[in-house]
Formats: sequence, C-alpha cells, structure tokens
Amino acid sequence: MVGIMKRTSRELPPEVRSIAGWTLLLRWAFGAMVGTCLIAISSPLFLRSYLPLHADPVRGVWTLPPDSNYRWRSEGYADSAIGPLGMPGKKQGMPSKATDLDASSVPTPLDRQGESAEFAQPGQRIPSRIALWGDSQAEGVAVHDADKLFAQIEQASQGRADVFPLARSGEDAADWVTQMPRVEKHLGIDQHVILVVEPEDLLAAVNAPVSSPSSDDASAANAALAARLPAFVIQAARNLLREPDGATPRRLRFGVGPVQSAAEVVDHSSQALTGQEGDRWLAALSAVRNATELPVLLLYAPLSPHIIDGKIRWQDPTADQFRSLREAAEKLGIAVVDARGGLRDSVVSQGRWPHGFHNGRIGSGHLNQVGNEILAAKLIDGFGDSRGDAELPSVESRD
Amino acid sequence: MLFTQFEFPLYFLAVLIAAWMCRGRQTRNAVLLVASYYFYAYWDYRFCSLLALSTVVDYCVAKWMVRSTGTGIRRSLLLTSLIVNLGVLGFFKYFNFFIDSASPALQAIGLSGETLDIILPVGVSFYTFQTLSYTIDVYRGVLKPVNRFLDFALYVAFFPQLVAGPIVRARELLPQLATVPQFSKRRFYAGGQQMLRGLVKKVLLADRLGEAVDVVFAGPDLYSGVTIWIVVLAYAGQIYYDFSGYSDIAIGAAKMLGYRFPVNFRHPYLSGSISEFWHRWHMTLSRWLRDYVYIAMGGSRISQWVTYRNLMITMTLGGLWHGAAWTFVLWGVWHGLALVLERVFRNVMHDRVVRPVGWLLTMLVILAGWVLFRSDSLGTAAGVLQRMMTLAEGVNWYPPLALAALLCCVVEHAAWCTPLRRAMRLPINAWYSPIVTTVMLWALLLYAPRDFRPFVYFQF
Repeated sequence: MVGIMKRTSRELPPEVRSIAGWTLLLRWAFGAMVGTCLIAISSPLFLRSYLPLHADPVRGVWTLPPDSNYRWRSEGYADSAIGPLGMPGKKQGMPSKATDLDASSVPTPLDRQGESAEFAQPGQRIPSRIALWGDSQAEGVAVHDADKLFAQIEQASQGRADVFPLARSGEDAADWVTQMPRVEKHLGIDQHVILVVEPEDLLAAVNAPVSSPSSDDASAANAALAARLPAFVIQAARNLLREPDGATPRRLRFGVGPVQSAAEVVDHSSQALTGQEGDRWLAALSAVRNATELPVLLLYAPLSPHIIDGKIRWQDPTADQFRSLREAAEKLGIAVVDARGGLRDSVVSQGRWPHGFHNGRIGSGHLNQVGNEILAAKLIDGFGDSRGDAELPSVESRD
Repeated sequence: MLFTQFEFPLYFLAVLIAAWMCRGRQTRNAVLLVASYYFYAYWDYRFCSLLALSTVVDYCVAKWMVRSTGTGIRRSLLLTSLIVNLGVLGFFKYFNFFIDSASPALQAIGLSGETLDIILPVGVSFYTFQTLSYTIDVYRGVLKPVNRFLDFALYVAFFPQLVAGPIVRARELLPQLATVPQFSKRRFYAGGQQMLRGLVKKVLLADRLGEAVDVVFAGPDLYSGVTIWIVVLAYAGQIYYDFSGYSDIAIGAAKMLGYRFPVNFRHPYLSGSISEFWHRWHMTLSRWLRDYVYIAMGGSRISQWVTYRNLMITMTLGGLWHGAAWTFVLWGVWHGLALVLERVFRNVMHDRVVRPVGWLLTMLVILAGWVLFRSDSLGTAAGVLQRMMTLAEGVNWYPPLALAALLCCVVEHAAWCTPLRRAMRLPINAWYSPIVTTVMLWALLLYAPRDFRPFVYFQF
C-alpha cells in the first residue's frame, strides 16, 4: 500500500504518459464498475424496495403485489409482508372467498341503514371488521408489521376487531371513497375508520370516483421500470429528478433572489374561516357519507408535537380546519375521535415521540410504533366515547 | 447559492468552462467577477450593493493612503475604512443584539428600545474581515495597493470564499489574480476530489449528525445526561464536518479554477491543548484575530497580565464575531479563559502534562464550549450542562445513524494519524481512487438526507 502511494505521488515520465493515460482510463472504468458493484451489493441493507405495482381487481387501484416482501429504509428500518389486496402486514383474518363470510355477519343495505345511526353514537360496541383508510401515516411507513396501526388496533381490542389496512401512501379521500363500496362485501366490513392527519386530504372526496388502473398509467410504466432496474438505480434517479417529497419533479431555479421564505407562505391554520369554508367541508364529508351506508369514524392525529427546524411545535397546525371538519361531521352523523391529547401527553410526560424514527429523525415524519399505539388506544376508547379528546380547548392545543 | 444545491454543479461547470476559455487576465477576472456577483445575488440581489460599497470604499481608501504622506491622514483613511466596514457589520449583525441587551437601561431613561426587522446579509462577517485585512496591510506598509479595480473587486467577491470563508487575505489572493493561472490536470483533479470530500463531509456526516442534535436541543429537558453527552459529541462532529466540508468545497473549487486558498482546518480534535486547537480550527480566522487584534494590542510582548488581557479581549471578540448573542460571547470568554489558564499552568508545569491527559482536558473544554455555541439561550445552555453532570439515568434515547456517523468521524481522525493520511487524498493513479470515488458519488446520490440543510456557518 505504502509502495503504491509512493509510486503514485511521483509525476509520470513523458515517454510513458500516453500509455499511462490509457491505463489510467481503463483503471478508472474498472474502478467505477467495482464501486458500483459494491453499492449494488450493500444497498439492500440501506435502501427501500421498488416493487412492480399490481392492478388489484377488487380495489380497482394499483397496490403492492400480494405475497411479496417490502423493505422500508427511508426513515425507520422495517420489513413488511404484503397480504391480499396489497395490504401491508395483513396476512391473517382474511376470508378466502367472499362467500366464506358468514352471511349473517355481512349487513344487508337495509340493516346498514338502521345501524349507521347507532354506530355513530357514543357508547357503541367495538366493530368486528374495520377497514382502515388513510395515507402513508395509516399505511405504517417504516414500521414493523406488528407495530403498524392496524395491528395495534387489533391488539388494543383484545382480538375482538379484525382490521384491514387499506391505506396507501399518497392517497386521499377521492381514492378512499372510490374503494369503500368495492371492499365492503369482499371483506365483510362493518366499520370504516379514516386516519386524518392533514384534513385537506378529505376535501378531495368530491373528486371521486377515481379512474381504475390502465396500461396508460404512470404506475404501469413505473411497474415496468421496477421490474427491470435495481432499486439503487431507481432511488438515485428519483433523488436526482424529484423534490424531497418524492413526487414533485425537481425544478431548478437560476433567477436571482430573494425567494419567498417559508414564513411568508400562507399559513392555513391562521386563515379565517368563512361560511364558504364550512360548505367545502360539508360537501367533502357528504361525499364520504354517501359512498357507504356503513358507519364512518374519523381519527384525527395531526403532525404535532413535531420538531421543525430544531424547535418543538406543540400547536396543531390544522386546528382551525379540524374545527370546521368536526362541525360538518357532527351534522352528518360521522363520529370523530381526536387523538391530539394522547400524542402530546406522550412527549410531555414520557419523552416518547409519536412521530419519526431513531434510525433517522425522531420527532418528525411518519407515525412510529409509539404513535400507532397511542392512536389505537384512542380509537378503542373512542368506540366507547366517540368524542375522544374533543373537549380539549383549541387554545390549549395551539399554544 | 449554496454548494449543496442541485443548481451549483451546473453553475460551477459553466463558470469553469468560461474561465478556462478566457485567454486574457482581464477577461477572465471580469467573467469571474460577474459569476461571483450572480452567486451572491442568487440569495438576495439587494445586498450586492453592500458588497460593492465595501469594495469601492476600501479600494479608494488604499489608493489615497499610498498617495498621502502624513500619518494623520493615513490614520484617518484607515479609520474611514474601519467605520464603514464595521458600521455595516455592526448595523446588520449587532444592532438588534445591542438594543435588546440595553433595553432595560434604555427604558429606564425613557427610550423605547425597539428592535428593527433587519436581514443579516449572508457572508458579511467574512467579506468585511477580508477587505479590512487589505486596508490594514496597506496602512502597515506590508502590501502595495492594487492598481486594477477589477482585481480588487474580484478579490472581495470571489465566490468560493465569499459567504463562509476561508478568510483569504489580500496578499494571498491578489498576486494570484494578477496573472492567468496555468491549467494543471493534477491540480484540477485534486480540486475536484477535495470538493467531493467536502460534500461527503457535509451531506453524509454533518447533516446526519445534525438530525440528532436538533432533536435533543429542541427539548433537552426530555433527555438523560448520557444521551446529551452523545448528542454534544455529535454536535462537535457536525460543526466540524459542516464547516471543514464547506472549506474543502471552497478550496477545491478555487483549485479547479487555478487558485490556491489557505488551509482552514487540520483535524482540530486531535489537539493536545486549547492553543493547539486554535492553530487547527478555522485557521484563517485565528490568523486574522492574531494579526489584526491580538498583536495590534501588544500580543505577548509587554507583560504577562497584558498578555492575559489581550487573550481575553481577542477571544471575546472572536465569540462575538460568530454571532450576535450572549451565548457566543460567553463561548469566546470561555475559550479566552481556557487559553489564559493554559498559559498559567504551562508556566507552572513546564509542559509536563502528558498528551493524552492534555487531549482529554482540551476535549472537555471544547465540548462545554460547543454547548454554549449550540444553545439558543444561556438558560438552555445551563440546563444542558447541568444534565450532563447527572449520568445515573443512563441512555434514554440514542440515534443509530448519528452514532454511525460519529464512528466514521473517529475512524477518519485516527486514519489521519497514520500513513493512510496520504491515501485519503485519493491520488489519481492509485488503484483504490476510482473505487472510492465511485462509492462516494453513489453514496451522495443515495444516502443524503432528504431535507435540505444550510451550512452552520452561514448564520455568521
């Protein structure tokens, strides 16, 4: 090694420079291949999976392929076994066929109409087959299967509830409303639970139904890419060509500054609520309400407390939106469970952050095992009293 | 523009091509000057005027200084430069701090003591010190004033060192700007390698460590003493790799353009004493403070007590230079005290302290100092230091990736003490260089934290 270093530190004599140039070029080409191989071999330890998506005939959306395994490596490190209908971590409690369901356990439309009001009332029983909807927070990004929200709810219900994790990263209410009627009979659902992290996701309900998968979708092209290219190449291209959110194409700025700072961006929480605003929530929740005759429960868990720019944000950034949302939900008989108090208490009294991961950044990001545990407990309590922490004054939750 | 932004490689490539295509010195310097002003305007074009003001004032002052023979006039001209430069720095950086600190006294005499909504111009502390070094050197007669305004304007605004150093003195850079540099493939390659190393330091090490640091300093009361110790060590790593990474990118970029910048860091955490630490940490600032503050006050030539006083003043000013907050002032005072005590004990012990003991004591002083430096208030700093005293609770949280980054820091420092040190420069002909370079490039693409983090020293 020392000999090599001594040799390389000298200037090459002019007569061998051209030969050395070729040697150098070959050496660098070979070295680049070896370096890339090292990354290819080691990257599965550190990089998430890229699986070719599967067009699910029941749900009518693109899902992760059933019976595959998925590696989470973006925030926390965890592995998920993908179950039927692309449900991450859900392998048990599935009816093998829709006809296997006990006919008496599947409410008829007429029964449902009668039950829906009953389910929405405080003091209801724990439902036995719950469909869990939401985005990546409800899906259980970077959380082990046993710690995902659906598993925690099943555990907190002491085995009385079977929960079907139908939430998928990037989805909003338009997707949930579209899929709700499709899975109800197939899975024998008797309660829908929507995890609401950003209330605005619910506003999209009015855009339902969303189109079914087709070969022209971007997801089809992505599926073809995922089947052909190694994960590290896809990840590198994604990091290079997309913004940190992973979805927005990267846009370069070459104009001079100043640029609008984050503080100058409109803060939704401080927007004055208008009558029109209330109508929007009512329209969105009506779309949810009309999509199913089964009871629907909204589990509210905003991104607080959260660490942002090195400071703890205790206040709920969407408190005002939530107030309007709850008013609209009450009018439509949709139950609401507010989990803010539980999330906050966990940090204040035990120093346990409900969001983020030890591997990456604790205190911000997706719900972790602690957060899911809190939400599961709140939900099970909420089935007894669907108001949850709703009585918390919003001033306190915004301090 | 920041070195870690995706726009920078494209900008830098364009500048490299344009600079090396220019045959004449003047054209080259003009191209680099325009590129440098664009680099600064990318953040906020309005503050280019401050840069221009500082440039014009110091250029003219130095010119007139040479023409005038009277000491009084020369002194007045120097004073003009000091007032303009330090006035700009004082207003933009320290106005609110002084008003805030003096508000009880101001209110007592019936004044409102209201602060203003002032934006701190990026890099103002750095380019102010650079231009001052020019006028002071001309005043002292150790440097001839530059004849070409273009060269001087480029010296002040040269983009690799404009916003966060290294603080390159006029006598180091101006002679280089007076000629067209010769292209050297080896230097070009070495510059590129240094930039890549700097990026790895910043993005893969400093930013990873910073994630853990931010969590704990956001609510230190929630964490045990041992966890806080881990995080303070992580902050020591973060600030070192952040700033030395920036310096590496700056020095590498200058090297690729054909210019040589002074070294800014030499593994300061290997120091056996605080004075050695300041010979290895932010070396260009240490030199500046030594030559223009410490020695100007008499240095160590007058008496022991004057030496101690000079050390305290210099370090306190150094602390204040870093930021307009009492935590930074106290950090400077803390290092000043450590330097004074070190001198006292050196006289008593006659250098009989074995190096490992000296290293351990030095690290403890540095780490305590970093707590002050990182805390947003003296109260937070006191709370963190207090919790560091109680280790009984054990570890209540640890960040695995930050610990891995910390381990990399230890290995890198250890390797630097061995013959591997030369290998770490990745010579172009070495068999391992292409492999390591490829791995570094892939790692930057794959493992960089998603959230964008500016350099720590940008706030100064």
